[in-house]
Amino acid sequence: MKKLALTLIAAALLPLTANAAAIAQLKAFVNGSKTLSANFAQVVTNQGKTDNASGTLEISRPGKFRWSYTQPYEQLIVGDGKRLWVYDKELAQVTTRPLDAALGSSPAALLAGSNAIEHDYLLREVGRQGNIEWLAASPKKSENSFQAIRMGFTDNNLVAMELTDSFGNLTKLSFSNMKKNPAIATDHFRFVPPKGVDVMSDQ
Amino acid sequence: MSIRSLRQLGRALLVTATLLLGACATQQPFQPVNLPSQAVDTPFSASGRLAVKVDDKGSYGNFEWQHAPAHDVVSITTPVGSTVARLTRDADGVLLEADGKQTRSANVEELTNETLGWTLPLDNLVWWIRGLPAPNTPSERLADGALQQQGWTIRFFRDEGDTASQVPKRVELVRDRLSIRLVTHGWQQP
Repeated sequence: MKKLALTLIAAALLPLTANAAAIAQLKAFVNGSKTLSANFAQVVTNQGKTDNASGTLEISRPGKFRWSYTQPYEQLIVGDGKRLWVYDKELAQVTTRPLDAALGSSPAALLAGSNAIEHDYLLREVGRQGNIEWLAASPKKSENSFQAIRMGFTDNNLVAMELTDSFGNLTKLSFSNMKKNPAIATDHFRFVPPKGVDVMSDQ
Repeated sequence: MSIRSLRQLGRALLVTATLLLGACATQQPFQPVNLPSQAVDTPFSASGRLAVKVDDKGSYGNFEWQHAPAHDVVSITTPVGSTVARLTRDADGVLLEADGKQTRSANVEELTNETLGWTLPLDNLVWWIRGLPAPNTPSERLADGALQQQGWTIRFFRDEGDTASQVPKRVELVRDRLSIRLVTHGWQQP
């Protein structure tokens, strides 16, 4: 009798688990993509004013990423596994610093980690909006530049991120054309400063 | 030298010249289209990136600047939009918020010098970002189009082929060992 009751409860729960919750989708997403490429669109709301930008993203786990803004300006961010490089073409300016110091401060570094999100953030289910399951990630340490991160998943794919900073400004990222495990040339995760640009280093 | 090798040399020089022109494509000097006879400050909002360098040390970031004659808010953010520092100026003075701390001062120049170790000439930058000399203080134009004012040398640049923009794309300020370079990718003037 007791066994039957448990079976009935399990059967009743089944429809819920078929709609995988966001944390389970995050794990499936990270485990199912050694490399990743996508387009992204970024909307930053700062003091009531919005600023749009877009570009492309490439990731190779663990820890390598290329986050490239193409519109309305060119700005390239490369994590080569050891260092973070930021290249501004119009200013002919490169800045670089050790990647560990920068980890957690950018969504690219966060996504490129193997278990950085689960390790450094407390995860909580937020619920479903349309066909997107949302989770909220709050940093365990306060030095992260983002106060709150929300990640939205559909069919084990990351489709959106929302980041709130300590000043209350919001960044919305939406991802499209996402490809799991594409072949990416290794030189996409290396950065050599072009000749004639200024290089500033934080170590 | 044979005619053939002369031709080859000529071609090589042409290629070099083309490459050099390509490299300078975004480096055209900017000249204000209409110099207002009387400077009138108007509100604007600007987004861009800036690089600051003192000797060999420096910093780089995105900026958001909302300006009105009596009120400025300048935010320095990461590329993805997370605020690193915010400077607010109004009739009460200046407030800098960074690293969870708040610092107040009477003027931006003093405050940035004390907290950052370099001076942000915000009063003048209100004009320079528009390619104009700041009013009510002497200024001089150098032969190459650069502006000299209050110890700063300011250079303005526009994109090649862009003759419509009322403001420069890029502004470079140099004073002693300090250089500040800004590029504006978003400009709104209501």
